[in-house]
Amino acid sequence: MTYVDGNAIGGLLSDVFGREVTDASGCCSACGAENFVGALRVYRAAGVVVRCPSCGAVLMRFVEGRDQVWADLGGLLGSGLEPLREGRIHVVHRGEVVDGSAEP
Amino acid sequence: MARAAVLGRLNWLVAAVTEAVTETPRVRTLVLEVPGWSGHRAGQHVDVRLTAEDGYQAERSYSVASAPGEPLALTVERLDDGEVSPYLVDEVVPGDRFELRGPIGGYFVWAPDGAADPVFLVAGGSGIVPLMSMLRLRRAAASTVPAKLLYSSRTLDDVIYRDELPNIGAEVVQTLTREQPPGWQGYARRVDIDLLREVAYPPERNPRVFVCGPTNFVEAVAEGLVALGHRPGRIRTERFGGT
Repeated sequence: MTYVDGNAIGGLLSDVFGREVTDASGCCSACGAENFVGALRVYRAAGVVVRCPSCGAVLMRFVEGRDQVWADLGGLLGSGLEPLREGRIHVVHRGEVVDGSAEP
Repeated sequence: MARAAVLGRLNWLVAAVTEAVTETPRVRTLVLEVPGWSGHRAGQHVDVRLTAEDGYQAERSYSVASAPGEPLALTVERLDDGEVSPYLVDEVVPGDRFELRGPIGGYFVWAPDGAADPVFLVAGGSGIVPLMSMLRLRRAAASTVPAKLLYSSRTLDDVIYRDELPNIGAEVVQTLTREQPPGWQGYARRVDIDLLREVAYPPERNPRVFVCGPTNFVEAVAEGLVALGHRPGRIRTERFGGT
């Protein structure tokens, strides 16, 4: 399956994080590699899967519905990337939707 | 529904087409007037959203072709099975409106910031678009940063910005991979490590490199450059999938 760069989902990411994050760095919790978010590998199907370009581990997953986004950032290690605390953004952790305001 | 602008979040804006320029049989440039547009950096893109009468929405990303400071222009290639590009390339006329949000992307951007390091741009097909924004900015700013463009197209008819490239003020090296007109002076093969060795600035000059094109193209170029000794951290890529 072909992929694009994290840069390509900058619009979705700014929707989730409330700011431009493609030039922020993300650290893989599997292999520890640190890469610019804009350089991560993005696979699009029913949802958006973002993988580590170094080891292929899943770092982030997004599913978009109308005006709503489900975001699972479970593969990132202490990235400092915090989703906006808004009702339309649902944080998913280990398969469960957790309140955006709750600590996963 | 009125919604206040949220700081840092991108709001959907309404763009009106002021001009449509045919670049090639498959590619068109749309010049837009966008009230509320904040300006962009060379290399960024926008998301375009079309809404059907039944409410169905389709959203795609397109690179900005114009230099910062110029009227916003997008250059769009028609994908025959696409949901958005056939409309933008074949149907839109001046006066039409659609939604967009942006600018997007802080990673694949360039500006003449005083560093003297040369910039090497590699484009496959419509991957030229964000690189053209960079070259137009460089020309408008009268930047003396050395710049070289390596641009791969299938045929001469597929070359976007064909008339402007000779006047862009940078060294332009072209290759036509499928068909070449009689007397063609450029390359006539795919971009591979041998071609990169001939054309790219040597690694010792520490060039900044931007590569944009189909995923396979970008992959081959980025791997080739790293094999030639370019540092991966100096190479920025934008893949748009497909072939």
